[in-house]
Amino acid sequence: MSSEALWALGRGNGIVALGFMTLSVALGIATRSGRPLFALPRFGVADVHRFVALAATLLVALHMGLLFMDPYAKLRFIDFVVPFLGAYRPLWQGLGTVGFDLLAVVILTSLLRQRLGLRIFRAVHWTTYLLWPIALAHALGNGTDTGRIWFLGFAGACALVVGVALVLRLRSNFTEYADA
Amino acid sequence: MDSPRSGFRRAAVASWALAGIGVAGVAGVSALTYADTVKPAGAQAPAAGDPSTLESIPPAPPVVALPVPVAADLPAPAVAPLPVAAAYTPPPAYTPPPAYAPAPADTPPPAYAPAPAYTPPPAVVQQSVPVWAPAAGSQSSGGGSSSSSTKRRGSTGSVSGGNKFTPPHTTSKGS
Repeated sequence: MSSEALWALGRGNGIVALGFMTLSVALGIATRSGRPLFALPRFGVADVHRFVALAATLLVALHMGLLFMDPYAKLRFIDFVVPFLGAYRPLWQGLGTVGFDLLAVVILTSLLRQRLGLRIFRAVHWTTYLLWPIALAHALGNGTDTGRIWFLGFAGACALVVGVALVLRLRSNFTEYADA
Repeated sequence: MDSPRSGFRRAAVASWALAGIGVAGVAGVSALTYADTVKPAGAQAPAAGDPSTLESIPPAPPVVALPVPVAADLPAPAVAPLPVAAAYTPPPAYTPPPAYAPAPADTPPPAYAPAPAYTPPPAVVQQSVPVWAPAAGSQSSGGGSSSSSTKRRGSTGSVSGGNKFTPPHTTSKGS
């Protein structure tokens, strides 16, 4: 596989991972409301949220692995864990590293939810509200497609979905039995 | 209809549908980014509102309309008569190339003849002038010459028998 193909595939995985993270945030907020969503029952919403979150994690792993093999990006193993050490746009790449660290913690605490307890799980899960804007900033600052109209439209759509979900989350009657 | 089994089924369908959308999205976005990567620089059209690029383009030259000749004014093209088939001339007979003449045998260069050995010139032997010895008892009258006057003397006064000439000594210094 050529270097250009690796580079393009890595970027494609990262962009789709941002979309899946957006969907996961929206489905997580919908799960927290306790209401059915379209044709999905409550537990179905939680199930799809979990699936989409794991798919987003897989896409992020593919994004990092493909860019690690690409000779143009020049990623090192330490760049996956320690932020702001990269050679190419260290600030924006470091934001991606911070987002990956947060994602790893959120996924681990979600998988160990039964052992850690609901309190720790919920406290760590609140960091996803920080994870999503970090991922968006990483995509906008480190990506080479930020000038393209299709990417700006995609990023705007992601921001709109999360914004609408946040507005719904902040409403007083957000939960199903809030009025009860 | 709203049984838990149907709910799980819907959730599974929605999940795998999203997975398919994700795979298609990865393929599509990767194709878009790959096209952006390998697109040549000259293929990108300039921005519509960029005045710098618009001013740099020279205006197109005016189109000069060439007069179209009317078909009636044109003289009829002279139709050349078809050439009559000429008498068949057979192609020249094949002449085989001359037989291969082998090149003369390579004559080796003459063998190296060593230079003749150096033969020194014969040594010049200078013979002394024979001393005239008068006969015993014969006296020359009035000659007055004595033997002492005929003997050559050296600078030291000694009588020498001839020149002390040594032949030229040639020493070969090697080649």
